[in-house]
Amino acid sequence: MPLRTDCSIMFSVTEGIQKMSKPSDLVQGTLDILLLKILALEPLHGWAISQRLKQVSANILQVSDGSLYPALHKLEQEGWISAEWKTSELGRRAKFYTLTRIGRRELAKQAADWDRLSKAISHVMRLNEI
Amino acid sequence: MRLEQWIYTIPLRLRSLFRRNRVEQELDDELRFHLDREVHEAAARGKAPDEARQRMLRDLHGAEEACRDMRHTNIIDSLIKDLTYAGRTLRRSPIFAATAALTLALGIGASTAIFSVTDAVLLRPLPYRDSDRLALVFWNYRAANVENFLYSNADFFDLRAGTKTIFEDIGGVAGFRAFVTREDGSAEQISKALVTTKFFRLLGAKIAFGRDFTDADGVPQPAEPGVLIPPGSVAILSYEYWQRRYGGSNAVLGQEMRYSGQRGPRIVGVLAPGFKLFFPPAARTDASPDVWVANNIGYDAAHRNLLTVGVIGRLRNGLTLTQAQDQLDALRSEIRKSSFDPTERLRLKPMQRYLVEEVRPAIFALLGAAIFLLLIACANVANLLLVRASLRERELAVRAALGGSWWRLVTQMLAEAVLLSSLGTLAGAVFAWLGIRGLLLIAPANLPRIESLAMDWRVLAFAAAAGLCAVCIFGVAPALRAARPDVVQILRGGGRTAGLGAGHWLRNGAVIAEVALSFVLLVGSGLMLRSFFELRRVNPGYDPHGLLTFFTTRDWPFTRQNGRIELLREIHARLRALPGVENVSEALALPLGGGFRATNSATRPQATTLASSEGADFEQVWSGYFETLRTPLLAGRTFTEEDNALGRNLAVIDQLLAARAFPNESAVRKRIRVPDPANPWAEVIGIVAHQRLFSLADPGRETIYFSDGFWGIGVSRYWMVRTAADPAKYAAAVRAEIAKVDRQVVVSKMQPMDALVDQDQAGTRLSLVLIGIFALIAVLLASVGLYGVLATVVRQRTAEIGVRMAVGATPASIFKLVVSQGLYLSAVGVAIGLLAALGLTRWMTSMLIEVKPADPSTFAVMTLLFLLVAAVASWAPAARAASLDANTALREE
Repeated sequence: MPLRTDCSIMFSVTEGIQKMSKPSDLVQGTLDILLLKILALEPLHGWAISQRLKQVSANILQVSDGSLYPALHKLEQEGWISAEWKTSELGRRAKFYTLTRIGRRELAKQAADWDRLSKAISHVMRLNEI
Repeated sequence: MRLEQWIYTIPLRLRSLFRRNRVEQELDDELRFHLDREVHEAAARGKAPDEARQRMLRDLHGAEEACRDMRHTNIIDSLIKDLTYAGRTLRRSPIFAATAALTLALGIGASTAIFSVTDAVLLRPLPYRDSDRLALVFWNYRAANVENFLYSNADFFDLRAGTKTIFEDIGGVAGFRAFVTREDGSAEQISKALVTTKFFRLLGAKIAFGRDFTDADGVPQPAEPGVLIPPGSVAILSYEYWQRRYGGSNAVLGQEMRYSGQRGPRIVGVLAPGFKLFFPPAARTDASPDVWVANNIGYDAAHRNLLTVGVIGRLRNGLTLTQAQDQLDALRSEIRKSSFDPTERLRLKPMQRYLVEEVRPAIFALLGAAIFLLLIACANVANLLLVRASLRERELAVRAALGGSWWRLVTQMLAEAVLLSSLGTLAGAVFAWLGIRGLLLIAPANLPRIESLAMDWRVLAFAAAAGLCAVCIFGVAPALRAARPDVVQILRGGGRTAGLGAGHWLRNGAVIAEVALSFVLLVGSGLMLRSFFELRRVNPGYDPHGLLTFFTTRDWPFTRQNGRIELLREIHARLRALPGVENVSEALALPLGGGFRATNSATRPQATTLASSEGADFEQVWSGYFETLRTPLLAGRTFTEEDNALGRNLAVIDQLLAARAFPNESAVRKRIRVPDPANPWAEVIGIVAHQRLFSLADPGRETIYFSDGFWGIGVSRYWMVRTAADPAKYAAAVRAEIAKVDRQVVVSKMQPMDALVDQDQAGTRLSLVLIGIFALIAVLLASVGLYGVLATVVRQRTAEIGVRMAVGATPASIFKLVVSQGLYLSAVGVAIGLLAALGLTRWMTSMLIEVKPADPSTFAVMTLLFLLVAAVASWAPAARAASLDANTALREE
């Protein structure tokens, strides 16, 4: 269960007293990077993003739909993703989000930050285990 | 990065603001899609759709509001809401809105108009390349009491060569008049400037056509006696003269001008339009010379002929004025040991500061006065808002009780203030525009660069800033106050005692501030008024009324004596013979009319010659000069007709020079040293009263008068004709008589001497009018403010007054109560204003004439006047209070 461990570290680092039993309370910053990453692959609408989120995290990261949309809107207002109304797979019009150029840059930046942080933390964890 | 982000975010924000419904619809659609999709999935997996829907709805709860928050437009949204609300409230009380906006408009309009003058005259850099690095190099000659001594050619070269570490370059300019002959043979007088060859490059002037001067143009030419312009000189025309005289013809290049019947300089170029030489009026240098001639000078220590009036240097980059001055002081003795004595000093003065030096303090004082008016207007509007808030106390209390947040109430009150101030700023800009047009009409002609006065973006920006500051001053306190109503007290007490709360103190404070500020303005206007009276009372040493003055000049070789005196005599005789002419005379210069130069100081003082006229102004006059001007003769005699002859070394001195040069004896029939190497001594034949030559406000220096024959140079003269009736009526006859004598004589500057007096007083009059208007508005606003406060108090204390009456107070005592409260507030304001005025009026010193800034009688009179105004303002509310009927008053809620 490597992901579970990662998540526990992530939560304890970013939220301090965050409990493992409430993974839906993903902190905003963390959710941002996940959303950007998902949208980096292809433009998606909100529902699809929520499904993808569950898929890629093996249902562990159950982001509540109630916090998904404000997060998407925030990223849109920051200019990192842009929205477009297109016909969805079932024939209804849906709001599709696409990563913008500055969003791509932001993702690279946040990913690098995240990488540094997680490396540092796993380093610390290893020290503890010995 | 930031910029690129805006490309995405700004359209989104605008969309959220202005396409609100659309955005809301999309949010709804998006969430609905999610819901439907979830339900659809559930159904596909065989689960109960309703349950899925319920769960989803629960999940999405609050998401909508959270999404809205992400738009970051809440502040703007509520601002728009507040402004709309404020607009509605103001529309409901149009009289209040109009009064407040108009009051603000007066303050903003006045300060903006005066700012436009400040900007045009003082703040805008001169239109030269890097004009802040240009400085005049004055040669202070303290021993001779001269600030700006003339340079000789050798002095100029020494200075330029010796200060290469300080200046990039140094140039010199001197203005003259010259005659050119028109095609029809008649004479035209033009303005001419002699400049060093790199002068235009120094200032960054553009040559429109042809070429600039080169160093070769400045090489000395063999001098010819009696010829002012050496042959081989070259000239550059001003664009305007080129258009006027040559019709903008290209053929003019290479052409030789005719000067005074002689060969003049060859034209090599034309300046770009609009180039001006910005020197103050006192420098008497024409701002737009028609012809610029390259000065042919070389280093000639033996013949140090006086060269130039204005020496301008361009400071090297990175050198501050102080550093440059220090270096100049250090270099001074080395620049040329023999030519500088210890009492001489080279002084740097930035060109811009030199230009505006005289008017600067007055303009700043006026700007200060205008800003005071703005502050008064703010205090008045603050007062109005407070009164209004006290009337709306109930409404506000109810809203606070119902849970209106403090912040929302503050922003709502502020929105009203912002709206008022915007209206005031708009109207103020209109006032300022009118004011600027008015100022252009009445501004004294000698105000430098006043012609560039205009309503430009800088002026508009000032108006906007003034409006913004006004909101901060008048809006914030009332808003904070109104947003914190004492809910329980107001709702229980029915507002009866509300007027005695904190708002009461704020309101009194606003009135006191208004009184104090307007009192300062009133004192200022009082001082100006006294100055103006003093100026009108000044005895200038001559009688300017009933005098016609004009200037005549003619193409006349410098040294030609033949026919000179005959020409002047004939003009004199013909004018004297005109019916209604009582007396006629002429002089090299005219009091208040220009022409004076402190040329007398152009020689170095001789040690220990007490009876010397060094440093005095000199004047050369025709016989009858003192009689025509009605200058009293104090001792001895004045010049007679015989004294006009050449070679009479006679002088009349004024009482100041007599007192200085002959402190313990009568000056009459004594010898006095005069600045002429050929005739170093003159005999004093009389002493006259001192004449104010430059300005009625300026006592001026000692003066020595020579008879016309003393030097006997040229025929250019200022004439003065004492007439029996209105002097202006004689102008045509005078012109006709002179034309009969000699058609070549050019007559100009024809005007009654009263017009010169008028011009001389224009600055003081303008200041008086402006400060007077400001003070009038200020006092009006202050009394309206006082009235407003007292009227509100009376209304709010009606019940209390009823009680007082019921227990036996007479109407007279009620009346006294209210008036004394008004007087009390004014007295406090006046006391503060007195202290402020004592500190502030010294900034007016430069505008005051014969009055001290702390003139006790002005202060006393203004205090009384102000208290009188306060009593009048308190009258109406007091009368209303006194006329209240005890029964009705008691029943009033």
